Amino acid sequence: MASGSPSYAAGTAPTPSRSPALDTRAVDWFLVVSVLLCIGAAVRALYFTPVDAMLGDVQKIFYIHVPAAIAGLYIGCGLLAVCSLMYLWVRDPRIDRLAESAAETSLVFLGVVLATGPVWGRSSWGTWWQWEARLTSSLFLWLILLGYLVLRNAVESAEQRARLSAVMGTMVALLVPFVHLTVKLFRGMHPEPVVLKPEKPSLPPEMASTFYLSAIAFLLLFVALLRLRYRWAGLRDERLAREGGS
Amino acid sequence: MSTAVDAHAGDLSRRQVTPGASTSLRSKASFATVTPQRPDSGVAYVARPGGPPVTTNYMYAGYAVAAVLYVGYVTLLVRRVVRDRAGLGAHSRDA
Repeated sequence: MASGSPSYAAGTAPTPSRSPALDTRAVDWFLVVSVLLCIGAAVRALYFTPVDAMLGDVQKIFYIHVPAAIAGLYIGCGLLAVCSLMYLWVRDPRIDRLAESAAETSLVFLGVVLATGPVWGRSSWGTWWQWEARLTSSLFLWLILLGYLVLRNAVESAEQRARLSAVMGTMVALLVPFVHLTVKLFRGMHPEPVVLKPEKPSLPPEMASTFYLSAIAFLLLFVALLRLRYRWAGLRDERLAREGGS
Repeated sequence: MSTAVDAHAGDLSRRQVTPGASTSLRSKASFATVTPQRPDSGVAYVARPGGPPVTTNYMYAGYAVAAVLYVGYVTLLVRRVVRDRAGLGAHSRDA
């Protein structure tokens, strides 16, 4: 670890690392803009995008389901894995906080995926849930993320917690490509990728533009929530350090 | 039964996909089956008879569930920050 970087002490509380510029804002402009963009994208999807001729209105769940999956699965879990690996190398608590924040934000976005998917499935497949590969592996990944956060709360020592979490966070990286490929590797009911595939996206232009707007909006929301979660983790560690020191 | 269906990608609103609408692409397929069109023609799907199924409630349910989750998480994070900021402030005053 580079000298001068904050580090976890042997005790339960992290080493105080507060800088004069510690950001304590609960809401910032980035969060406000991203929330407004998401609302705009939802309004466009609901009221200004053509209705799918086969599925009807329920197809519009696609515009929130897929962006949440991209953000939670690829961005969030990817960030968690990278940060976990980096923590094992440099042992910087800021990286541990970023990994923790990525895991929790991914949990929420994958929760949206797992909650909106069955609504679509009930209308399109006639059932809320199927134990097929994509759905089951996504649920499994969500449970691993939940376990990661539970583990963090269960370990007293900050250094040990960060190290164990980093090992578990790294394991998530192994699951992400598997979840992505389940629709190719196994016969299932989940549709194959419409956008994230080597070929051109199979969407008419009016739907594609709504999708891209929605994807940008929810990716920005993901980053905004990640920033806020990271900021809170810093505040929490600072408070714990002061309580431990007093 | 064989009826032409207007299935232009840009004309997929509920009113415009009803059978018998003006047609630029004619299909001999039975209405009992849903036939995908040529991907390079800019056409998404051939509509079902009578237009697309009414699934509006499911659409709103999906959006409502997502909104509840996102708003709930934002609220949780804001409460956490406000609480710990207050805790830090109280600690500074005590010190």
